Amino acid sequence: MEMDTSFESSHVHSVYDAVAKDFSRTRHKKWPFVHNFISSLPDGSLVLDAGCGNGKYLSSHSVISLPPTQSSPDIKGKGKQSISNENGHDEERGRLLLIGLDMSIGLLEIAANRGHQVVRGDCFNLSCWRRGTFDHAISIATIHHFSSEARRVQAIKQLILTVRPPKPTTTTTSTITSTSSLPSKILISVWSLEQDPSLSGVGSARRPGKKGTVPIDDPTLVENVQEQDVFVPWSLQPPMVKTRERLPRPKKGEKVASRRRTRVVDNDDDPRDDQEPLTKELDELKVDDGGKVGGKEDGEGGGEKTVEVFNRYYHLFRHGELSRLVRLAAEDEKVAGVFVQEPAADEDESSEKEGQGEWKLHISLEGGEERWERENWAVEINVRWAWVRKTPSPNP
Amino acid sequence: MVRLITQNLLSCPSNACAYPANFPLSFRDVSTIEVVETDFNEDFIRRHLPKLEWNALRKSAAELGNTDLPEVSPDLSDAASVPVEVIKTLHHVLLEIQVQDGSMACPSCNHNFVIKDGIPNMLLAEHEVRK
Repeated sequence: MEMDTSFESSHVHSVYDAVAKDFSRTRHKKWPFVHNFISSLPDGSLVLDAGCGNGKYLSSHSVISLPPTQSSPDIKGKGKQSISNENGHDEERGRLLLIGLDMSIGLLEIAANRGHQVVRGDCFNLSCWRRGTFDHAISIATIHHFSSEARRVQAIKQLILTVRPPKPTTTTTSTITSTSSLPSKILISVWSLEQDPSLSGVGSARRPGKKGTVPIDDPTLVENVQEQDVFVPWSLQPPMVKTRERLPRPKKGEKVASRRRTRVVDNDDDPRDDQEPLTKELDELKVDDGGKVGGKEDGEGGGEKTVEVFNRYYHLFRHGELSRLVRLAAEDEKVAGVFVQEPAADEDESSEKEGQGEWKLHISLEGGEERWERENWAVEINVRWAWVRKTPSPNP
Repeated sequence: MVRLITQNLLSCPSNACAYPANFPLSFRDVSTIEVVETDFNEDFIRRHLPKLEWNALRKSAAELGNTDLPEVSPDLSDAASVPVEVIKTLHHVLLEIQVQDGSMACPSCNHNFVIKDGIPNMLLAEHEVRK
């Protein structure tokens, strides 16, 4: 566990802190499937965004109206159809409240400056929130940063505990309905291992694996390291550098450890963000444990620019993996839930309840399975209490 | 700027503390408070009532200098019955009083959670984390 947290500290948290503003500029367009999920939530819902980053989704249908700001550089000039208005705020009337939680102070500050309610916290432990308050939650592109399966399951477990409604109290048997009213919902999305075949560009044909990713070679860095555990580089541009400038090549005779030519892209040349790729050839240098790849040339004169490259850790999910983790989280002893294929259709509202039963926490996936959303795997989890009749014992 | 609607949800995550002893967190050394006008959304406040902890909210508001809320809580489980004047007061207390800098302390273990630039830091040291 200590190895995990220190690894994540180097390869997730300190990276985001270093690149926050740069990163935030590429994270402004709301993904439709997330926005649609939020739009489907009932009026008055209190929603937690676990891993909110720069607070991109916190404005969705929010009751907290923000004063008009100067046109934000984060979304200026993109010319793409956007769900929100220029200030990132929805035109529709507010009816929900979304509150964000994240580890990155740099990203949280951007969210707070936009007027959002955010706290600094760790998705691994959401017990800072009084239980039974949040109705729903989202966790977008966050839990794939946890470096072990146990930690990824724990994150899902925390989300379930956060939105779990209070257990119904049985009053009289005749008033027991088969399920408590509306389920609490959790939307989780993670980056997939599988690539979208329709998006194959030059890079995908040339090398195996996910575009832009670097496999982790060192087995001491990540427990049980697999093909799915990768670094995704982020090139931090110093302000003066033109984006298409090439890095200086190594001088003859210069010793550099483990050079490998790789196509590294800026701003996550990533169809998930609909960004124009800003690509450059970058000589890959030895990775140090601090997560930073040095791109600096020493002792040279003018005309050379410094580009810092940070390696962010991701565990890319295979098809079916996220569902499996939801099941593990549901069956965890602290959650004590039952992972069901779909909500029980057997309970007839009008039938007599014999009082021989109990409330069980049912956890299911909307649609029964995970969804592919353009190089992400996503699940919409329903959490509800269901009255489960005890099967009567056979007569002696 | 953290609002009371958020603070009323926060408790101490330490494994040494359990609800209700870890709630509410007491404001301390609040150096910057602002009152920021916010659009009144009656429907939202009514729907939020069942989530409120009335006494805690009243206590926390008083720590910030606001004593508008009546001592006796209305029936929070019957939202329609609550008079609109109370709803308006709640709107003001929950959404319009905003803390920029200060801290909050756990009434049980006294751990201090710093609020800086409107962002509460709810992280604990590793050994204090509840599993």
